Amino acid sequence: MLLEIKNLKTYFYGDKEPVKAVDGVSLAIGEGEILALVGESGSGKSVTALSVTRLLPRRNCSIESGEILFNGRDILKLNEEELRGIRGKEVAYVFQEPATSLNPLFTVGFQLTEAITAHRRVSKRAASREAVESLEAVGISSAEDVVEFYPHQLSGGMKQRAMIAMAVSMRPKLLIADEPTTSLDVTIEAQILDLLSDIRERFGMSVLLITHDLRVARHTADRVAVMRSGRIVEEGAVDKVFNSPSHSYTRMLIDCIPGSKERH
Amino acid sequence: MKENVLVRVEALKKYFPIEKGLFRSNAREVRAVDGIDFDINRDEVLGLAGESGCGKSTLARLLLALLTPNEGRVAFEGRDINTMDKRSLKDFRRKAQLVFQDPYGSLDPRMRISDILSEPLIVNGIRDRSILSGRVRGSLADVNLSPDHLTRYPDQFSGGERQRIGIARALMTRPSFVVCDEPVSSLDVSIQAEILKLIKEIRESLGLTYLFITHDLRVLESISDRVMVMYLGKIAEIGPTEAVYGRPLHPYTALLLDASERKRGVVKGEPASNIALPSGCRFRTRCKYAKDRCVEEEPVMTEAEAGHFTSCHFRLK
Repeated sequence: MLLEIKNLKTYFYGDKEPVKAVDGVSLAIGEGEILALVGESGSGKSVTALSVTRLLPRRNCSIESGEILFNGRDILKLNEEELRGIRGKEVAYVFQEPATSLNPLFTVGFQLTEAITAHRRVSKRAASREAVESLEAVGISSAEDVVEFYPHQLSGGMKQRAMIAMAVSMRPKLLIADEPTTSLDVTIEAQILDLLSDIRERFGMSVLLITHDLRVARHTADRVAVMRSGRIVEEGAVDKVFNSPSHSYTRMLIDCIPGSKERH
Repeated sequence: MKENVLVRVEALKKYFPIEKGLFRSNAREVRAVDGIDFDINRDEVLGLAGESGCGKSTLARLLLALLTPNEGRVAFEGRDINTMDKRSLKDFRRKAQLVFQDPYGSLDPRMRISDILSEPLIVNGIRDRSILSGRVRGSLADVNLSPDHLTRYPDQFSGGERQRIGIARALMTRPSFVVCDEPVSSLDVSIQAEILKLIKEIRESLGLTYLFITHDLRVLESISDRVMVMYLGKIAEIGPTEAVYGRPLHPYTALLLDASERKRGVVKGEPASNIALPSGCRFRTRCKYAKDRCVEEEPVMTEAEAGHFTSCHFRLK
């Protein structure tokens, strides 16, 4: 197992009772596996994902208990410096809104080069060459031109490809994609999901794919975990969960898929 | 039969000029809506699907007289909405309403819900407090929200609740025609299902005519009577819902259906540019069945079976 989360509890503190965003989650992802974590807004999917590299606000949030084993190391026992070696380099993230993840004031090439030089000792020239290559690797055909572009000159799908390029340029072992296609058109979404499958094949990367839409998981993931109110209610192989869901909540999520009721 | 038509669209075109350079010499244009004809019948839900940039939202704006077409006409209850006098236009605006995509951007964060809902009536000259409050409560009940919510501000609501408020606002003027522009696209699937159910219930209780726009063809299946698929400013296919889903005639419709199932490897390439359109069929650059004829000749809309039209030289079997 590349990543093993055991009985994780992540709470947020406010004026009143703590909010148990993640309340005893156990998950495991094997090498080269795509696991989809599915649930509604507020179910704790994203907090689970951010807990993996402890990217949480220290002011009002804490990991109460549990273990996060990444490649055999307990993430919860690492210091800040050790964590920096993992964030972005071994575990990379792609977020929902590509438009807000990119800085509008810098070119795509600049941002890619910055990410590359932040993690490795390479010359600027080598880094910019790598930037072009990483854009080509995610299916951007005129990568030489695109590095000169500012984010607003790219379509939503292109921006998300650039974000994925940035994430995979480090060849991380685990890619965490948090609703990577939610703001995109279905046709672009289908292409981005194709790209994620393709990257997994080519680089043998593991992917944690977070989504509210079970359809996204259906043809892309190997296994699915369904999350509700901070807990995993069901987990299993994609086909099994789709064809014979054992939890009524999973059944409900399947019924929400547009057109599903008509066909069942 | 003819009086059954609520909205009639004829040879409608809208081009946006691209002004470039000091002397605006290279006057090119974006062909957002490029010659389309269709009707929307009374009490019907017409679903409109297509990708970003296909002209869906431009069409919606043309139908509501928020944009003026370059060519063609839009008739509402038999009258051209672009040549109406001021009074008729005001009456039209009361009868034709819009529900927006983004429930965050479309509600003023500094207005209370009661003010957001009263505004359309105040604009229409209704200022009587008791009438206003009655209508506001009525609309809120139509969308299953409680009157306790009236004094709150938009940021106190979830995305789904905001969309309900957006729908309630559209219903305030008691319209007969409502355009929903991607009303569920930014919501969770479980919330999507709720909002779709609500839209259906309202249609049954109030007898409305809808144009329902989305990029996700599957969303339309349960809600529309007829479905229209647009590609780069033109209609690719239009027909009764069961016919379009059961026997899609245009390869683009088939592609959209596969994409909304999130099948792997079905979508190749992006739409051609609607500034420099390809010769012949505008879908041919992405079509796996494209032949010589598709390069040479632009297909016209033909009726393949009763009420089911497509603009493809070679219909899918």
